[in-house]
Amino acid sequence: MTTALTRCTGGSPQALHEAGEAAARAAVREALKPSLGMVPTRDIVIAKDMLGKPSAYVPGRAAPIAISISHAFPFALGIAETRLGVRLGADIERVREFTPLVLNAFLTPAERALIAQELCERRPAAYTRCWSIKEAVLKALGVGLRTHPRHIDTADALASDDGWIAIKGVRCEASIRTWRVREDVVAVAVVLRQNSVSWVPTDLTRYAAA
Amino acid sequence: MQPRERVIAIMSDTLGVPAETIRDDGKLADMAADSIALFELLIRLESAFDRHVRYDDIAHIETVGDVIAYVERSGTSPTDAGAHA
Repeated sequence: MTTALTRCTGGSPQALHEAGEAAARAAVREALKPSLGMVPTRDIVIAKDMLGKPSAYVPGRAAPIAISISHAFPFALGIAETRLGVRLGADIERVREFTPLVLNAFLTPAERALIAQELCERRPAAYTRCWSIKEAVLKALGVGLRTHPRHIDTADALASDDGWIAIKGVRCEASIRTWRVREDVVAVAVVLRQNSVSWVPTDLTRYAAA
Repeated sequence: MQPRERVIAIMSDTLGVPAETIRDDGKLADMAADSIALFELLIRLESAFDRHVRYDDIAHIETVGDVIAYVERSGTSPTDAGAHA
């Protein structure tokens, strides 16, 4: 996976959108360098599927390149992966204080227990990272907030960047990278292998009780 | 307070946008600073109207007017039980 971070001077939705696409193109160029050399930026076409999930296309390569884009003014993050059979999700967020209403809504009990072990002053960043991993996973799946964030359990991955994420109770192997862009900005990239889903339910008790 | 006025009041408070500037054709993605703000708006609407939003329906909600219409017609909307279990 390759990554690129850009800054934009304007905070309008259009400016952020353009900064995001510029970051994605930069990440695609870097990803293609070993196989195709330096592809001109203008040759990289970004197109979205019906659900809004973007991919990149270049002349001379039939297969699409998996990409994901996120922005939090003034930053835009783009990530790319040329390997087939992976799903990518990126998210960048400003660290903030969450209201109890929001925390109760998106955290699983296991995530809450893990983050509670952090020092108080580190919890806002930990909550933000947890949210970002969930959102990146939802983007990788191509569903975004159409699936409730609490269906994504990141507890295993919070402790280690290479771990398991449970998606609606099904464990999925994930590789996660986290950056602190600034003291107040967290960026996350998630790679899910499409063939990594393990069909062993994480909660066997519900089957034992049946 | 009518549903429309309640929705606009909650949007104004959650997204930090003056109520008088909120128009039916305003796009939520342009009004919210980020996805966390949008999520907070969603759960505050759920709390205020005592009903759960079907998360599949979010694909069809793009503007302020879409939210108002959704709230007004979703009185018997089934819950997203899995998310709230």
